Amino acid sequence: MGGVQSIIEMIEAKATEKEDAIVRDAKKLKETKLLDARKKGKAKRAAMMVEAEIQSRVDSVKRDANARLAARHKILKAKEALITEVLELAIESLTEKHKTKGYADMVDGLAIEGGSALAVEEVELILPDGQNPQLDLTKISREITKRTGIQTGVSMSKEKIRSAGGVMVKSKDGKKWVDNTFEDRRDRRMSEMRNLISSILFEGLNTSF
Amino acid sequence: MPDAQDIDLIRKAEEAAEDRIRAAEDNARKIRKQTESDIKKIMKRTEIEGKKATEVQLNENEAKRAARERTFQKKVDRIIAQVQEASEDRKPVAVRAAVEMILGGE
Repeated sequence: MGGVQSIIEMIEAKATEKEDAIVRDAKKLKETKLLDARKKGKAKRAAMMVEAEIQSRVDSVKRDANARLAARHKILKAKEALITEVLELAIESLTEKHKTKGYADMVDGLAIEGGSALAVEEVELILPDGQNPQLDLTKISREITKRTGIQTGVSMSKEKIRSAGGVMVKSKDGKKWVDNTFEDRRDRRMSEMRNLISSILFEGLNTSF
Repeated sequence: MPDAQDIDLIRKAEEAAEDRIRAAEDNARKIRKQTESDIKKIMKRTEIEGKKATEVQLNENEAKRAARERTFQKKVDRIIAQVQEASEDRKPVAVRAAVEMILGGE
């Protein structure tokens, strides 16, 4: 009986040992895996933060650049409004010119300039509607002839144009003309004029940010 | 030689041992299963915490950026006001220059 009992005890001891080993290994594996999962989790969280931070900085740089662009646009728009205002005031001021004493001389000058550019034998002068300055046609004719070397006859047209002032000079046959109305002269020299106005209005002002 | 009774006792002891080992293996399987579930929970929780922390960080960044933009806008508005103020005095000169250019020779 003693031998059998010792065999049974040995079987039980081995079973206990194996039982403990199985559970111990499972628990050890659990600890290792959980530790690993926590490490991975921590790394993932850090990676999420880094990725978000990078994205946030990229967005921030883009939005800052857009804001700077918008600001430049806003300043340019404000300057543009001021330039436009000056141009309007200039035309407004010219609109009043036909009531002034020297207006006829001024239109004489514009007619001479236009007629000289045409260089033809007969020109007609077309004035803005509602304006009738006493132009010196003889002087205009003489000056054009002198400048072009072509004997040029000058007459007033019955036609009228819509303009704040100035004159349109047309060859008698109507094939060539020079528009020397204020608006057209302004439009022809717009780019130059805008640069001039801009330099007067904004020179020396620091508009950088 | 062991008699039949002894052999029976040993067989029963072996069967009991096998049962205990099977029970231990079942227990180990449960531990492994529970471990997998715990890992999923850890990863899920990590993701939620990460998202929250990220959101907080992004909100902070956005607040700083918005404040920076407000300051910048104020600066731009100040520049525009200065331009408008300064140009007010210069406008008559610019108008005269524009008129002269319209009337002047080309």
